[in-house]
Amino acid sequence: MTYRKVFSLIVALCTFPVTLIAAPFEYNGQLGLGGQVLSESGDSAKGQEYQDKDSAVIGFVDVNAFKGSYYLHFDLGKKVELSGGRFNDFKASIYYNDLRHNISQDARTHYLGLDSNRLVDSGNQADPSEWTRFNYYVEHETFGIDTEWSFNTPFYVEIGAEQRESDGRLPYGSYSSGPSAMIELPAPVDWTTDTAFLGAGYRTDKLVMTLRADVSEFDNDDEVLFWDADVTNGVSNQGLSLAPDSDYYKVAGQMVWRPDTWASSLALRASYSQHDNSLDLYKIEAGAGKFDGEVNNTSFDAAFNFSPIDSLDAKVFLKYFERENDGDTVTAVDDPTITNSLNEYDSTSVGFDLGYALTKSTSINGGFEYTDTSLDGRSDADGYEDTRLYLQWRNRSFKSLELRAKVGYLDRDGDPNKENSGVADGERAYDVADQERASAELAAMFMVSDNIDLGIDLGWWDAEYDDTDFNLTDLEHFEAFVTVGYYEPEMFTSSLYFGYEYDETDMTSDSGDGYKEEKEFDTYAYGINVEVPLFDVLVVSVLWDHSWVDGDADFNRADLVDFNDVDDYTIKTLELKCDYNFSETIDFTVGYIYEKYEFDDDQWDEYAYLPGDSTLSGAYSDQDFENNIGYFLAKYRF
Amino acid sequence: MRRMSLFRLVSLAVTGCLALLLTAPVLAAEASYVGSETCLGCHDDLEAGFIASLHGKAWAAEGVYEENGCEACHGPGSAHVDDPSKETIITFGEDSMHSANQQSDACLACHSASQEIALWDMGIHAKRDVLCSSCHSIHKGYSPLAAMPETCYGCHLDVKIEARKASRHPIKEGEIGCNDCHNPHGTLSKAQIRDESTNQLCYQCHADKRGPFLWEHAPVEKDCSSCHAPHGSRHKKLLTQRVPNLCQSCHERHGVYDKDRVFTGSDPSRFAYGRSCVNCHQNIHGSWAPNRRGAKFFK
Repeated sequence: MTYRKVFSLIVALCTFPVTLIAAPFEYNGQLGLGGQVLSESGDSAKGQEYQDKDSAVIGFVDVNAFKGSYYLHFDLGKKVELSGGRFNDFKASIYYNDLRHNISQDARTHYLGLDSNRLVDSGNQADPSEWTRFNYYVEHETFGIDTEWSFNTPFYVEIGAEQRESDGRLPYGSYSSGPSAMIELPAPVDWTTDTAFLGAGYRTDKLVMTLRADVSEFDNDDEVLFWDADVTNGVSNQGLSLAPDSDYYKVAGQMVWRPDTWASSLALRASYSQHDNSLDLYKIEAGAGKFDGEVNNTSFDAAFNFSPIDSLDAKVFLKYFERENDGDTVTAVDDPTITNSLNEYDSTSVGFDLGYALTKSTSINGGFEYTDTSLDGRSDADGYEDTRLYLQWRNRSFKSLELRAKVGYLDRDGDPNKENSGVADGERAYDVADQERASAELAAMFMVSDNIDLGIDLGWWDAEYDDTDFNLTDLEHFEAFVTVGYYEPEMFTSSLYFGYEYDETDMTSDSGDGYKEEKEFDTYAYGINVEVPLFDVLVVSVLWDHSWVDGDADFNRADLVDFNDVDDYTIKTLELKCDYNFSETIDFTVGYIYEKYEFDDDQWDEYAYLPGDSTLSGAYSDQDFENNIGYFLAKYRF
Repeated sequence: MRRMSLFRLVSLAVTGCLALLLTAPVLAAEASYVGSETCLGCHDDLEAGFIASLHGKAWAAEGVYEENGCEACHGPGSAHVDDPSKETIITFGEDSMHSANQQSDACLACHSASQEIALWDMGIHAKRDVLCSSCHSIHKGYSPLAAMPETCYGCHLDVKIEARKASRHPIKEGEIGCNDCHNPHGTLSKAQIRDESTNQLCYQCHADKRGPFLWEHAPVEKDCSSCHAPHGSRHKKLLTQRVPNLCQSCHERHGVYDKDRVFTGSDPSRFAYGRSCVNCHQNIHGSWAPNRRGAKFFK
């Protein structure tokens, strides 16, 4: 627990009892105290990726207090938050949260100066067992306050501020000529993001208008990572760029008006934002100057929803988004032929959605959208035009059965950048190439009986990139989901789900290698959840989740070796819980959690630190883990 | 007995239907408020939970509960007293006799004056007849706010499965809720996200990726979801494909990456094993190193 968490807790705890004692508040809530025990094996970073599961005392506080129009809520669990206000007049909250993202465990480096922005070669590159060991992680601490005031009028003002501090280290891969051609380095994370907002508006059931301004400042204490790239050849103290400082400003306004005719509503939204920075390029490369970056985004949206007759519901819309790049143009210090591109784009969409009730229980929906996107700065394309269509049918003729079918189609017409030689042949990236995408969905919800329901959902889509002569040419996806709920009042409740996904990716090479690659992934997941109440005071629950992926990649050339394991993994989770209602105010919970993760990919098998002339740190190597967690919690309700 | 002609039969049916249609509103209009005491005469089990809830406290403080009580949401109850069936009063839920719009209107009578719910009419959930009561519970619990992500998973099983894949955001741990990125009540953006574009939404947490950079990676600047699956992925770093295949979708460089090029192969290559392309091209989101290697995202 850090000083900030302690401070938040003290402030909140001091404020809360004082308020409670000072007046005859009515209050309710829960307190919990217990402990957990962890037995783990394998990679602790993956096993505790976002959550601290170590053996420890656990607990929570959840208290509500009321007095007339005033209310107060204090929450100490995953986060610390004190919130409250007066109904229809004002509300406020102050909060703190600490999220640690464990990325990779037991990495190694032969560099000295871990967590600093200067990595010095220890000279001991040969023996990884002698290197410094460390974990990759990023810890985010967020502290904020926000409030809204309306004083029981249609007008309101809101204001808030938040500070987020991120510390840790991330793997940084780079390249240098010389013996250490490729290298993975621990880059320091020392970021602070300060944000604040001010908003105001007017809101009634007929008209809602809002205006809001946001500012954000991102500050990185280590913008440059210096390292000894190749000491033996005299290359030391080379600079690598890390996340740059930046400032962000945004103003956005929105209006929603509901006229009395046609049950209609009109919505308008406009926003303008800018993020900029000024970077001292010479910190990385002597002789370089400065770079002033500035990116501006402008957006406008309009939508009109109306229902001229009871059976027809319609919406027409317009969307516009523009990204302008007013940054400096800079030429690489070591290559006068390379100059940065200022990427810009604008996109305009128009379309409609129609819904028509054929009968009380049958409806059809259809929609059309046309989007024109212009790109500036890309070498392969000047833009593209999208035409999207969909049609949906729904039926609820039978009280116990709901059916839905939907088909969709996208046609993308790309505009190659003809100034770039080769593009005329269609050599564009898939995201801007001509594309045809078809999709279909079929779903059914069936109430088998009063206590059994069944849901089935099937989906398919296929995208073909017709004019792309190389690389990604085809994507196909199929999915099937089944859910079953079975309830026996006062005996048990149970639910089961099953999911299956199939993905296929086809790639083609037209270079000298001349090959085709087809990747296939089968993803399975199912889960069961059963709750059984016993003797009026006991609830036993069992939850089992199991998912696994089987992926492979096949080449069409005999001399190329296929991959049998591509991101194959298995995740198993078992949770057993027993809630005992000891008295009207006291509950006890005992639980056990089992988690297992196994990963298998040819790309990571027999991970080596020194293959050839390169140096790896071990980031993401063998992340299998197995956790056994037992916990006990006593809860007091009041 | 004289046989009734088809014409007379149809006339009678039409007249009967018209009479029913014309009198129904009158009947409805004649329904009057009976007060919560009358409601609780039969439904007393529902009161305690509501009174203790935040919603109940707000009503009590504003005098709404005293004024109209249960009937503020359920409508005048006199007809229901006379005929205690679901047809004679507004009920909420899938088995209600009232349409999704009628049920939503009961909630929107108070909540439409909110910037959070203002776009409900044109949102995808309203178009799909999702009910307020599908997500919000009024009579149980302290807060009527929907529990995230379980409530959303009830319909979006595909997202539930994605969010439990090997690479994911901390949704399962409760650190991120669906409503941090989406407004389920509707926005003017695609997928009802809470910002004008995907990138601007992602930058709210990932400010380190927003630049501006000297060397930009064009698809990155346009749409984070070109490479990342935000709910979860079978591939590391929430990628839509693993590296090097993701990069090869657009770039064909350094030859073939088959199984011979990984650690266990006969010709291991840094272009293929481990983090593959990112072993060298680390700054794939952008770089500001003012040299050739910066331009290639090496440094």
